[in-house]
Amino acid sequence: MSQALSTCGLSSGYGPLQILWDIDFVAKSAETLVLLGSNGAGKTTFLKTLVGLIRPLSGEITCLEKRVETWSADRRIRMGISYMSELGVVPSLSIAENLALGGYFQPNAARKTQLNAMYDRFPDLAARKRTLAGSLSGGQRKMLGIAKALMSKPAILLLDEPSAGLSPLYVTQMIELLRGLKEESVTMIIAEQNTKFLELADRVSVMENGRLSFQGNVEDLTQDDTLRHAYFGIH
Amino acid sequence: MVAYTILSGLLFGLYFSLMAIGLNLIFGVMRMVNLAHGDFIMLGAFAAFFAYTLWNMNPLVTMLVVFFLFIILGGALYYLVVPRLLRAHDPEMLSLILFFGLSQIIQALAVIAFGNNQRSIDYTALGSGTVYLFGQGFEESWVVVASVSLLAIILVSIYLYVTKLGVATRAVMSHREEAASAGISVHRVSAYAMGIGLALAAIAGVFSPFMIGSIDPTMGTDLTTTSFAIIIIGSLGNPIGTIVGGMIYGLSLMYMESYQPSWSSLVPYLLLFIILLLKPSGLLGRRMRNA
Repeated sequence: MSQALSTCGLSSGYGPLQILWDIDFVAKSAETLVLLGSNGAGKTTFLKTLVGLIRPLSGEITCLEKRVETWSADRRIRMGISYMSELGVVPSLSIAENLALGGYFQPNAARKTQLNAMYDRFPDLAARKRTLAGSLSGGQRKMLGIAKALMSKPAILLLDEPSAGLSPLYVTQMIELLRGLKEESVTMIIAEQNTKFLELADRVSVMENGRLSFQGNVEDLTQDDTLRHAYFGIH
Repeated sequence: MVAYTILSGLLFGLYFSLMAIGLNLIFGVMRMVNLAHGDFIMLGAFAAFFAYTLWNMNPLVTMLVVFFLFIILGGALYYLVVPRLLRAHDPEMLSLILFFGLSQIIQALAVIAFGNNQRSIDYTALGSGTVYLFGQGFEESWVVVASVSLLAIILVSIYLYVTKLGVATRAVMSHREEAASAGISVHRVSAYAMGIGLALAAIAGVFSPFMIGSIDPTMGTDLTTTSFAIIIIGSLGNPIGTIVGGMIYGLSLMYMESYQPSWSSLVPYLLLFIILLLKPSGLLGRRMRNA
């Protein structure tokens, strides 16, 4: 499998505050990679740096065989990365407008086709096109966030805590939805605290204090005593 | 008298909405208060004055020229100033100081260029007749300006709610980072908003000699205050709320001018005070559901 996205010596942060330190990371094409880490570990900063919302302090980012660390977010998104933030939607826009925003760079005809595909995939959204995203429940908002991120037909999908604020029922639905995307060979990097998402993972990375402390498969993770205790609560 | 007051209040309300909508558009997108807003209105007013005096140009034609010139000026000003401001530690506070400084510079240059004297345009330049609305007679120029203002507001609404760039603009207004994460170039959208905001201010300026009276280089300060009051009344950051603010301001002003003219200059400050006490988010301000 070729590399979809990789970083080499990546450091990043907000202004003078450094959050990420010297990250070497690889996600292969069509791979689902779960990035585990507690609150404040640096997962969101990492995803934002990958998509271009935060300019790295140093290091390289290679995406689909192109060096992109100096590129703007819109340029990276146009080339095939899509990012769903923890919020996922623009609250004051309607469902239809949020989806249109997700396909902002597509030609009109392609956007309409993709919009219809999203409505077929998410019939709940189709029934409430004019509803403001801010008035949706947490679960509906996440579904809209995924649909919005898929509007640009991304090769690489970055998801920031897709289970945050969701009831167990919605978490199960979310996992099934992402399993469907995995079968469509979309490369996914899922930043999560919920270990249930490991059932989707081809590989796992663990982030602690802005550094990657583990990279491997799920079996390796469960054999590491410290990590097993930290993430599964078992000795 | 009551019917005349209400109708003239609505005509002026449309004009005041036009005057303030650009300030709200810029604030909504950039979260910065353009304290030089009134000075761009003043520049539009002098453009109309000189175009009419030197070339006998109809103010409606001047409006079109000024609109496109100020879009370019606004876009250029954005790229010159705002990206640097955004890199600062406290961009909102710094922007207040910077735009106040810009206001002073524009006023000083305008005094040098145009002199301190008050100027006015022949009020018949937009028509000399009387237009009757519901049995009440109004100056033709008021009705023309109110109609143009209404058209401009409709076009701004179409831009914001129908066009692709407008939806992107509203996305930036609502959540800058979320818009950026959808691939919107926040700088490009903001530069358009700044250009359109200044252009709307300038075309309000073109019509100010017909609605406000004589013009001078220092008129901008009061107009910034009035515009700020209007957007606070409607809802800060919501351009459509400006229409509500403009109407309330227009009606209040005309009511005071009809019945208590010596108190009318207090209107913007009183309305600002009352709205900030009773509904700080403005009449159209709303919250999103959190669960």
